[in-house]
Amino acid sequence: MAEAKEDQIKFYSNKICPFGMRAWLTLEVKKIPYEFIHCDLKDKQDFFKEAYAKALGHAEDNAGKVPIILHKGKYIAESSIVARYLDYVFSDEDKYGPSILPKDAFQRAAVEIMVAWFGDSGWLKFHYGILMNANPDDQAKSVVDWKKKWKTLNDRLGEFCDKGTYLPNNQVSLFEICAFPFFERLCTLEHYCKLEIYSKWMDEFPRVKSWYEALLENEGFKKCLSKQEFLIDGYKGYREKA
Amino acid sequence: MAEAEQKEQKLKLYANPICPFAQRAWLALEIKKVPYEYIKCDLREKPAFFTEAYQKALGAAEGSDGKVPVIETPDGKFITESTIVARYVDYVYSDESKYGPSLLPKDAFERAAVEIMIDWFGDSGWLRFHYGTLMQCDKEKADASVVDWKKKWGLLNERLKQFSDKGLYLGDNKVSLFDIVAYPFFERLITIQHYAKYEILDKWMEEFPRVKSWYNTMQELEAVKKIKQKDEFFINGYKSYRERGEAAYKKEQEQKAAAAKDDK
Repeated sequence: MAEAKEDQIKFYSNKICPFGMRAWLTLEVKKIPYEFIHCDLKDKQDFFKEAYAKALGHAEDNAGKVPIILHKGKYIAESSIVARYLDYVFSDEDKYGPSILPKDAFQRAAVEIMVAWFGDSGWLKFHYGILMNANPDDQAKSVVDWKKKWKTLNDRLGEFCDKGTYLPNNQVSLFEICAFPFFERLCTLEHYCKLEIYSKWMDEFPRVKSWYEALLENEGFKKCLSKQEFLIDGYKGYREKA
Repeated sequence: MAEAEQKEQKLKLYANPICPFAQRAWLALEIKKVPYEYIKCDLREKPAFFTEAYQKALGAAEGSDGKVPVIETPDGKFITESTIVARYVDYVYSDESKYGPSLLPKDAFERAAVEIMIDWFGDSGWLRFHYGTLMQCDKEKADASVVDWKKKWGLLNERLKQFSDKGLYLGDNKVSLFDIVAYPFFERLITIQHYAKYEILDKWMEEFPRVKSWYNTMQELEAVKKIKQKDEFFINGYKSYRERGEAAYKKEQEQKAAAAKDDK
């Protein structure tokens, strides 16, 4: 039976955006049917701004941010909330695979802990901070501090298993969805900041390396990967501000 | 042991009534009428049983010797981090006939809205404003900060109108995880009123009537009333925060005076 048109997901996003990618990964990992509607982030189209203004969770002081989804006549914004919403609505495991929040209560709590930790650790501030600060002394200091978080991540990823995704059996969770997009964009830091992250850092933090490499092999994740040149080009503007 | 029996074995809550984070877990347990044992932990001289529980706990911060709340589940697992503990309790004790409705609504849109509010409250810097205003003894700086904080009050006032123009966020007395996450800080506004001399509970609440309605409705909930602490308890308990602010202010003044002297 064809699904009601209202039930289809309209997905407003831009491939450059790591927050947009969180929702995109959820859609692909769970094989949810959707229509990708490209939004220009520099020259925001009217349809984009209108969708955002109507969206649950929109920031009062922003004209438009991705991702947004439209489902059953309602617009929803905010990347991790969109991921949670999609996971909750498309919960038929036969059709959409396992939930990104595990059934086991302890594992579920562990995933929530990791999602919260990643947010509170300041990871994004380090990522963008280093990208946007050309001062080599500042960069060196930030790298030292950031690597402490890499170490914590390396340790925490070992909770359930010593390789692959956070949860055993390469089960993708909300943590992978929230964190991975920033790891894909490390290539921009490699390029602009001359940091050997994928080679040297990953060797210093082998559990992180194993986690990252397992995700590069995930079918759903592969559908959302961008070419490094695309990402490097896309973040040129951030570096130029530095 | 049958799972049902195991659940009826009491969960242990390591907490302290002064702590707003611990209150989140405490509220979740009380609202859902989950059988639990409250183990009070001294936060200044942390007892060994507490620090040991914390070391074992999922979510323990690497640099800390102990933070409340911690729960010990009937099957011997330790979990910390207030919101995660509340989520865990809500998820495990899901039998609605025994424990009432979930703190995360069944309706997907309402559920997303509750998640949005939780994230918004965290990202808004509310806690930084709360503790900052409590501790800031430089009147000019405090006033400037209050201007910014009140902008957040304004946003909260608007956002609370999503489903209903009065009462809890979801309306209809449906308690949600957002209410639990935010409320403990509102119960402690009396400390800011007392030490920083801002008329929050009278004047600000009048300026933000939707917030006032939410706050008053929370105060009427059985579970909230049961565990509410007295104003004097909070005022006393947060004295040391204010004293830290006074010490910082004094140091700033001394540094300014010394700098002024050097300039002459």
